[in-house]
Amino acid sequence: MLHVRYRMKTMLRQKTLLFWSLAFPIILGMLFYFMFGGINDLEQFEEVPVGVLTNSDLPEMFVSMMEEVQTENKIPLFRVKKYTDRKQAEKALQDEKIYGIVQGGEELSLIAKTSDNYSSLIKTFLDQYRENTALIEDTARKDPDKVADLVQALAAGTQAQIKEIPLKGTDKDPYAQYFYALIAMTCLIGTMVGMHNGNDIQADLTAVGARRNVAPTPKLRQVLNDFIATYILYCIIVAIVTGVCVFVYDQDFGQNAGLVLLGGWIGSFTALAIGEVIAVFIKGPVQKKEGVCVAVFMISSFLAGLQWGDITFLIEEHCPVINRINPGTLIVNGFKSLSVYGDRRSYVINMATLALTGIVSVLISVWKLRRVRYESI
Amino acid sequence: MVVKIENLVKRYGDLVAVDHFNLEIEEGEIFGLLGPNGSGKSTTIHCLLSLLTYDKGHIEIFGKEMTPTGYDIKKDIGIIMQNVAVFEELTVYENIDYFCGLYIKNKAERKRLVEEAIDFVGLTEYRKFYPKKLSGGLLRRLNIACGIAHKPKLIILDEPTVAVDPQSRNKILEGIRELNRQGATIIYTTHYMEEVEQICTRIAIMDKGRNVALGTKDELKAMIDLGETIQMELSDFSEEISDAVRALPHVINVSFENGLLKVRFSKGKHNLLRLLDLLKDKEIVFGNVHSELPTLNDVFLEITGKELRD
Repeated sequence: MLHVRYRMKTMLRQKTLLFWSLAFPIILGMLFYFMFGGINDLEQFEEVPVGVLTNSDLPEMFVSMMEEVQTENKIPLFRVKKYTDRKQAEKALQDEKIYGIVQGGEELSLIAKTSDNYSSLIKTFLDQYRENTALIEDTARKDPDKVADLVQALAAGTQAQIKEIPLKGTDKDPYAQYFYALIAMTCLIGTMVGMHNGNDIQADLTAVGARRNVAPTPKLRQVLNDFIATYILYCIIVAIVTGVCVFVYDQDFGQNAGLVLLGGWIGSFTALAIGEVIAVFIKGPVQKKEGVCVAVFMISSFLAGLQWGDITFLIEEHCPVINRINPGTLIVNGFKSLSVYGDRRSYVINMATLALTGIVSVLISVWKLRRVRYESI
Repeated sequence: MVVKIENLVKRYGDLVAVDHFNLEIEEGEIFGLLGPNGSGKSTTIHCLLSLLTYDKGHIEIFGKEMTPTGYDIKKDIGIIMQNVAVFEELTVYENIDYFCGLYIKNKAERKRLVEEAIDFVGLTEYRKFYPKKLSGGLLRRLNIACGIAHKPKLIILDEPTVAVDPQSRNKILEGIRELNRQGATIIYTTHYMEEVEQICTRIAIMDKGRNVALGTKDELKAMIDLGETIQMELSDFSEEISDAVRALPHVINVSFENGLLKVRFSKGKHNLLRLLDLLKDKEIVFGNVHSELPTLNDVFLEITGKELRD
């Protein structure tokens, strides 16, 4: 406990680190609040306008399902506009009167102008419909007697799933993702703290590291003590930033607030671990490593949509692998999957990937650090 | 035997930093490792502590092979590095408590030891100070306190007095002697020969990674031809007098510069008396006379052909 306590004191007395970890995200959040707060007031939730090309062999059942589907507050999810003229529909899309055009044919398809939350919502609905019809067709071929039961079950299931989509006011707030990215950035600044942890245990980097290396306390224990101390503090920092977002900046994470906090804590764990890896593997002076950490958290935050919200959709279209491995995007997508799509499975996948990255990073740095003798000091 | 180093070789690429170095240190010694900057002293210490990899050799401390996981050996070692190794964010008390805590788990015992260490280095008034508020000398004392608080049996001090004022230096050297009196074996590396002469019971002189001389200061001085150097102020000095001085027994070298005659003698007795008699006979008036016994710098100079501070 002694070392955990002193490590916490060490971090708490580093004003620069505290500024970046705590004050900077809160200040940035305040800017978001003043920039987007007024806009949000104007943009109350309305149904998502979507066009359907009725003369494109589009199943009637699909159109009626779209018209009937509702949120849990009994608000229709989509406002369906029927078009017979494709050009007319495309013009409406161009003018942003609708967020997507669904057309029939051999397979249902979606035309969208941009990738955003709304078009993603339409696509999710479309995919679900495709899956269900494929299942019905397959059952009809193999076991026709069970089709009726299946349709009933799917209808009930669809209702259930749709009801789970928590499209409450702020959940559809297109600017909420900036606050998600802000929390992600707060977590990622933890790379700096992790890097300091890594430096302070290496004899070839700091005099303190040399002294700790010749002590009889095993290095593994020292590394873990540092990690635990800074992780506890970082969890508190993330909780404060999340709390400020909710209670001061009016970000309604609703019933997912706990999961958002949990996501922030997992993100912090991974960021600390990545920082430790940077300290261990990047050769050169501390300043160089600090530069790498800043680059990591800034780039990761940018790719997660801190500065430009639509970048994640753009990456999803052109290089989706980045969204699968970028810690910032994993955090933001985890949050979005909860609040926009109500998809806990996706949240779990994102968080599991994040946690796995963190665990692997911790193992790599511990493996590299323990029992090491240095080439030069 | 507290420390035993056999045939230690450490290379940095083509540079041989430690070259087949051998050393044995007995319990209770204050052992000085003397050499100019870059002679391999710190590298040897880092190898000894298992901080550095080495190419060849065998190192034992307290009769056991030293390894990075030799925790039972490490618990009895105290290290004071050349660079001050403390946390800037912790106070004097907290720093000593932290580092002592890496050795001592018992809270009450640690508290007592920390208090003793603070008292020992004279930082009682500064216990709540942060390191950046301390002067260079006080900072060095804190560095020492962090290394010795756990009462180690072997204390290694790597140039602990660099950039320290004379008052703090004397306090540090006196402290080292006191630690030795309390039972600790000391290894003291420095390039200040005066410090080594002042406190060390045995000395190894290092140059280019090699152990070029080993012994007590008297043994080392006995290794060289130089006996003493006599300097005196002269009003007049001619070629004739110079030849006469050179003709005296045991004279190695004679020089005259800025009114100061400098005569170096090899071993032998009554050198000063003979020189004074000669000057009296020649009716040469002289002023201040100063006789100096050989220093470790003279030993180093004679063995390596260069000054310690070259």
